[in-house]
Amino acid sequence: MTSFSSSRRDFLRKAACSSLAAASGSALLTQLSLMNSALAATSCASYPPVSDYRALVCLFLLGGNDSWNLLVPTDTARYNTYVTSRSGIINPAMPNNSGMAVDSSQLLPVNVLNAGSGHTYGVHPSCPELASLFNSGAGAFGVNIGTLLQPTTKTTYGNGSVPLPPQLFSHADQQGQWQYGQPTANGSTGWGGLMSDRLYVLNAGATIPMSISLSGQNRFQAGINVQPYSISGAGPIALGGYTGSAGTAKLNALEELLALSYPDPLSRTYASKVNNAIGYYNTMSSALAGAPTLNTVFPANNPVADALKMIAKVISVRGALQAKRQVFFVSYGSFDTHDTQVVGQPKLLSTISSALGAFYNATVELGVQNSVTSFTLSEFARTLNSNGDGTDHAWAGNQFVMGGSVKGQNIYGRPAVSGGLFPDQTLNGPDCLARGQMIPGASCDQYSATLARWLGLNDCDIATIFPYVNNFNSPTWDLGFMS
Amino acid sequence: MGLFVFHRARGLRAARRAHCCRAVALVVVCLGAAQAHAYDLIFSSGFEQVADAPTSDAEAARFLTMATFGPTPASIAQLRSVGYGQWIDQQLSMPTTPERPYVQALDAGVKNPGQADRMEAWFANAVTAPDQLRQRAAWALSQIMVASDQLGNLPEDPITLAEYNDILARDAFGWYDTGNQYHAGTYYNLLYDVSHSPAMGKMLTFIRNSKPNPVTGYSPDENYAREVMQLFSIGLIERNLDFSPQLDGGGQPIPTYTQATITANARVLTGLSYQSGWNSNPTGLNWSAADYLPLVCYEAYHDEGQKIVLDNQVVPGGANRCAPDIADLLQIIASHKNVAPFIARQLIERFTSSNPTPAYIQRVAEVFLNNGQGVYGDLGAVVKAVLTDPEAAYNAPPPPSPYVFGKAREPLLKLTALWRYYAAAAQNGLYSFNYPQGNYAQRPLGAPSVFNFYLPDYLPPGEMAQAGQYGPEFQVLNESSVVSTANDLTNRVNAYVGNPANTSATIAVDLSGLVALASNPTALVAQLNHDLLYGSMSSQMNTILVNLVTALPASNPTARVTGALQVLLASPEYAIQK
Repeated sequence: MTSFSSSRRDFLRKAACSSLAAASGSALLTQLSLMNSALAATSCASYPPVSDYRALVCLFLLGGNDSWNLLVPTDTARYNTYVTSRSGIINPAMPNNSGMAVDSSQLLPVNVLNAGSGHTYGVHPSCPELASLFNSGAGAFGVNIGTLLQPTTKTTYGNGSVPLPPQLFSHADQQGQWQYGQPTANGSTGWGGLMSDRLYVLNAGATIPMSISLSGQNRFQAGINVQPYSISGAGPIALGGYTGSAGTAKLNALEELLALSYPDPLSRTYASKVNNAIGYYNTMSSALAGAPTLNTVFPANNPVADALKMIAKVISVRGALQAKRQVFFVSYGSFDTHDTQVVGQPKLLSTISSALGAFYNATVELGVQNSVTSFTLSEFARTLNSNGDGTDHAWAGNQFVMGGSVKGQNIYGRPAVSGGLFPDQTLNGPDCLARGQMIPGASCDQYSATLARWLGLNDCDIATIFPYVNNFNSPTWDLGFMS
Repeated sequence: MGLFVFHRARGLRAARRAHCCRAVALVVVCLGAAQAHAYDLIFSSGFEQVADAPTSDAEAARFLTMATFGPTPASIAQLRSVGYGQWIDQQLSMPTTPERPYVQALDAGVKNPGQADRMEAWFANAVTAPDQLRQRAAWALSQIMVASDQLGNLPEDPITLAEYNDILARDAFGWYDTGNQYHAGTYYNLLYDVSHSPAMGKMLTFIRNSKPNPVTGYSPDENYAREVMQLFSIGLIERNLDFSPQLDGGGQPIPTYTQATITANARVLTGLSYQSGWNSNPTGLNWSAADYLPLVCYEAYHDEGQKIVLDNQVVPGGANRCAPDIADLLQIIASHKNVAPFIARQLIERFTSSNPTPAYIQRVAEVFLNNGQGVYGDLGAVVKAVLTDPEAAYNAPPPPSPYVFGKAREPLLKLTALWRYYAAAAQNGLYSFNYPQGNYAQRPLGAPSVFNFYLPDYLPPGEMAQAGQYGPEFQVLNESSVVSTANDLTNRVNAYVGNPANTSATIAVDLSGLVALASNPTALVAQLNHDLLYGSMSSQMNTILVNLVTALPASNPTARVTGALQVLLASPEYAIQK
């Protein structure tokens, strides 16, 4: 086998492999401290130890959630505009030939404390839990948020006088930009991962990564050095067929194979994955064995609920894991409702609402509701008008944020051209294009950076990870929904 | 690498074959039998000298790892006998082993067919079909033009999805219809058939897509209008023939189209529905052949206006222009200069390498532009170029960094390679495996979205991302999936022929040839290296496995074999093909 260069990256990688092959916590500590020194150059802030616990839980709604049906203006004038722009009220008898507006009698009223004069709002009927969380002060909406490089209006969009995010309306690209923290085309990291690269030092003594994914690989949690640990809704998966004396011999052989120096990056990348699977499993499974009973009932047959319940369990053993800061990721979808939206959207929204409601209750049961903030992301919202049985890709939309530290019962964003936080939904009006593709008021990076700041990321690192956020600094990029 | 002896339980296999021929997979299995006969002849007459024949089993098996669902003793022998060129040409001309008749036969009289039957058909073909290269090409194309039973209304529709797989397999290399008329395997024909398939019509929601309705305010659906360009043909930015991005004066990539192009495409793609009527629903309890037959035009729903599409080309519209409008649009898309590098690069990724050099992509793209006889988009010629490129050749020098030859084996192909080499079969003649995605993160025509199981541009975080190296398959390799895949492979190995725990449905691997070597750890590991690692096992891995076999009790030869297999199948060297 050929030998490798002794670059820092290789050094770290080898350290990671050797420590995890040994599946020993002390070796992993060595790895983490090595990473710490390597990172000193990339973090512009220092992070002294903390005593409290905080976690962010990202729920990514894959496919582009039609969030203009999640939060709906219900005062007469704006509701009528909404209905017209959505090609009429949903016709349940003819779902393949239907407008997209939710019937006003079905909307769940929410009391928006900072609503404009005469403005009222309702939430989609499939989301009673979200409405209740909002009204109790534990939930808020970010409104009319999308990918932006700098403040943009319909006029400047149309005349090309401002730079625009590349590949608007494309799923993969817009997903990447929401998860990255900047609207650029390339790259592989995400703001959750880049944040974890800097904050994991707060988890002194931890032997598993700060980022935990319930949905496998994702850009949000990809850092330079810290990568997410993937578990399933059923927890970490044990390597089978390695028990007894023969099993020990086989496991030894496998670990020896994983510890070899491989000449190509693909083999090394695979080996480190299996190494991590074995090493992290031991840490996580022994911690979870001591988890307290969770009495909160989660909805059945709900993959988001399964994932959030496992997150609640992991949070419940944060002491054993020596975790002070954690970042969780769950994705769900498809929200790409080009067709059968009338049938599909209620199921999708009910799944996330019931799961988030149960998860919030679980954080209350565990006494960590003020320490855990959950939030949705989705690559874009959808056209307001109907394509007959669904809607197509658009731009800005609404997001839900939840937790005891959220300044709930309010909506947050940057004012649209029409004046308010909530945009004018007139097709081809001041705030949107011909099919109701909304021009964002606030950038998704403002929303994300507000969350990152709450978790403890220093403004100096925020400026690095979200390089465009200061374009929205008048008066401040912080959307203000975190206390 | 010397010649290895093929250990075969011929009697058992013949019995199984006879049994299978009574089952539904009549065509598949009997062709398999004919091939096995040819294999016997080759052995009786010895290897003949062919100019481009692999000089070792290792070289042949490596090629077959790239070109098929896994080498078998017979395919290694055949390739060594006829050489690469003839082997590929034979494969290109071999008729499609179809899925739809299999699923229909299983579902005859049921009227409520299930996806499990389609899974069974797919695995039967992957493991036993003689047209391996065609089936493998269909599998590759199914990851570019993605239709999925996990989405939309397709869960209820296994027959239209089976037909979709057959479309991909037929159009990959061309086919004769029942009237003995030949249909060339070209990119345009493929795109046309995909764009008229009910499966794709449902997947990307253009079935019953209607012209704009000024009364209701409805606009045409933009789903297929977008993805047919973004994912199936040209991608988001202008490309050179070697796939490198073309840049504008400011050094920025140049978008291939705008939102206006999407809106225009959407208007062109109006008017298609089932043959059984615009509003018909020939599925489920109403099941009829219209469920899978090509969609047809209904002029009343087609937008007759002029449409300005890609690169400002005009689709004229007018009365009775539905079918020609759509054909025009597909021809415009298929002719875009990006298609050759875009498709070439993804086929290279699927068959041989995640990080090809630009020169490799360009050589394949040039064949896409012209197969040597003036034909554009000849997919058989393109696949042949992918597989026979100097960069993919045995013992080719490694490409300059950051390019690196090789790819992660797709998780599901780890299983098919095991099954094929060890002649896996069930006593009931079926390949029942209903939920492969649970342990392998892959399901035939069952990706989580139109973006496939993974993206062609996926950069695995860490070392590879920092070097700018792609690894699509790594997008589904995480701490959960690598363990669940390893665990299932362990279970598959333990389902060996003769295990008393097997049921008639157990897909059992024939390990008898390996068990006969178990008393000799060196010979056993050498045979495993031959069978599954095309002779590429490192000396370090060899030592570790020989030590493992030696450490396992000689009194239980089967456990020695399954133990070594279990570790090998989880190893980095098995995970990466190169």
